[in-house]
Amino acid sequence: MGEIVLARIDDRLIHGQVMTAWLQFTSGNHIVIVDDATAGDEFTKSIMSMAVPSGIKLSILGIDDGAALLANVPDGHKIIVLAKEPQAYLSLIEKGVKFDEVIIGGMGARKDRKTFHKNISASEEEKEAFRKIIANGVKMKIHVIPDQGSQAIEGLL
Amino acid sequence: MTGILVVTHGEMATGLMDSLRLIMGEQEDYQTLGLKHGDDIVEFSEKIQAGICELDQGEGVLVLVDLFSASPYNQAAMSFNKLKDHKYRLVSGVNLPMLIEAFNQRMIGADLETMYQAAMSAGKDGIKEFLEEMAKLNS
Repeated sequence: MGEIVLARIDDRLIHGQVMTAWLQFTSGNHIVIVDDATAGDEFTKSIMSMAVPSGIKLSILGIDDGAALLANVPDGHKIIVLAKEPQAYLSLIEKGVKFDEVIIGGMGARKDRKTFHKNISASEEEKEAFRKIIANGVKMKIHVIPDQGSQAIEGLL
Repeated sequence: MTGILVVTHGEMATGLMDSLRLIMGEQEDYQTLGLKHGDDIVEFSEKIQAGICELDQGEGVLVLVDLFSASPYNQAAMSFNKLKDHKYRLVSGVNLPMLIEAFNQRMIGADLETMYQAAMSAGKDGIKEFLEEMAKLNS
């Protein structure tokens, strides 16, 4: 049985050094992006695939296909899950995917977002998703870079 | 004139241009953009697109970014489909030799294709180690 070694929220999904650092830290071997829009956009998919180091498998899936894969991780797969927003994780949880924790890696400023903690911003809808994810027994932390500390978000909501 | 857009993490782009002006004097038809912590990535992408549109006077734009597959590169790459009316070339790994070559080529009237190829070569050739170079002299 494989496992999910990291579940991360990041607006920018895969980007450069950030991904390399997390791959080394978690020994992940398979990146699974769960995002309906990206899954339907061949051009963005090809740009994302260029960012993945050789030897690492990449899957870019919509919510339904993502849930199917993650609810039953294949043998030998150490999966890093990436999504742009917490709502995607809530959908995955509701479709039966089990997470121990979900980390917030990058949620930048946006018109509908307010500063949540330091450089992390979140909309009211996203905060509601955080609460529901936590209510499902999943830990939620802000953890931007592997070797820097993390912060639980319960106290911030 | 071909436009030049330098996009990096943090202040590197403005720093590179500061160094370039020291060496080559004041320049025109260029812009710099820096990504900061917590920036709105969509807004950043829009700034890149606006920069390319403003700099393109019909001869295209050379876009130089710091890291392959990182955000400045990714956002400039993902803008490609939205900017079909503009011609641009996107080169990663920008350093001072690359930037100097780009402005030099433009000064002597090179087109975008020649500019980006010469800039790429100069960027790579600018990386050398002293003792290795000494050994070459004596061989």
